Amino acid sequence: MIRPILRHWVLLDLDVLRLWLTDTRVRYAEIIDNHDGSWGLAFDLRWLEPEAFVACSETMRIALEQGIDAVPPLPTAPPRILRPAPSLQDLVARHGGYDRITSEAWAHFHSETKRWMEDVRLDRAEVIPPTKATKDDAA
Amino acid sequence: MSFDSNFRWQMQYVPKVTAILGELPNRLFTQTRVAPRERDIKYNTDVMILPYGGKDVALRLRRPGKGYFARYGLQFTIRSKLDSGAETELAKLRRGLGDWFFYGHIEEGWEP
Repeated sequence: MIRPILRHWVLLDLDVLRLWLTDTRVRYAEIIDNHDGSWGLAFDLRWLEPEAFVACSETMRIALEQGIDAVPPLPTAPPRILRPAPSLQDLVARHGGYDRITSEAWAHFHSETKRWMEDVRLDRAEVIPPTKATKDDAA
Repeated sequence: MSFDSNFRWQMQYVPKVTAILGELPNRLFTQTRVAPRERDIKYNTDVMILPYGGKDVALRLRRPGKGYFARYGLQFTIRSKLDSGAETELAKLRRGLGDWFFYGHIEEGWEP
């Protein structure tokens, strides 16, 4: 489910900020029209001295140190669960040893592996989570 | 968006902000930390103030929007002009309102 998330934040010391704002050299980055009868000034956090920061989130720390593009994006869709590829380990175990695998079993294994690779390529290998399957079945 | 709806929108995130403040080291606070009751939260025209652990925390959250994080993720904004002519957030902060300024970005993402 897509939800609002608060992971990117900063806590500033207003005493330090007040001093900073009285500095006539301070410039704002842009004027923001909030479309509600109010306007704001936008400032760049990188312009502040370190003592202005009481605390910040991990994503803010990354952004301040490495730039905003370095912050990992939030997932916008559930992680996909793919059907596992045929297991060579299981094949060996089923036949009691690598040398004891029959040619028919090899042929089946290769065929299944090829089919799995084709399903992945064609985006058909996703496993539907049980909760969604149950919901869909109920509908 | 009116100030009332802005207030209601920000109010929904107060528990989350309080939880974040609750994880900060004790030495930052001057009093025992108690989450603010709704009636303790002040909203004076355009500034929401949360009293927490002996600190008055001015709260501002930025709304989510396409491309906003990349464009505004390293900014903070202060309201500087009101059509009504009322005293602005900038003026209030300059004359001493609040001890800390919590500025957060609301994003939208997938969560199970």
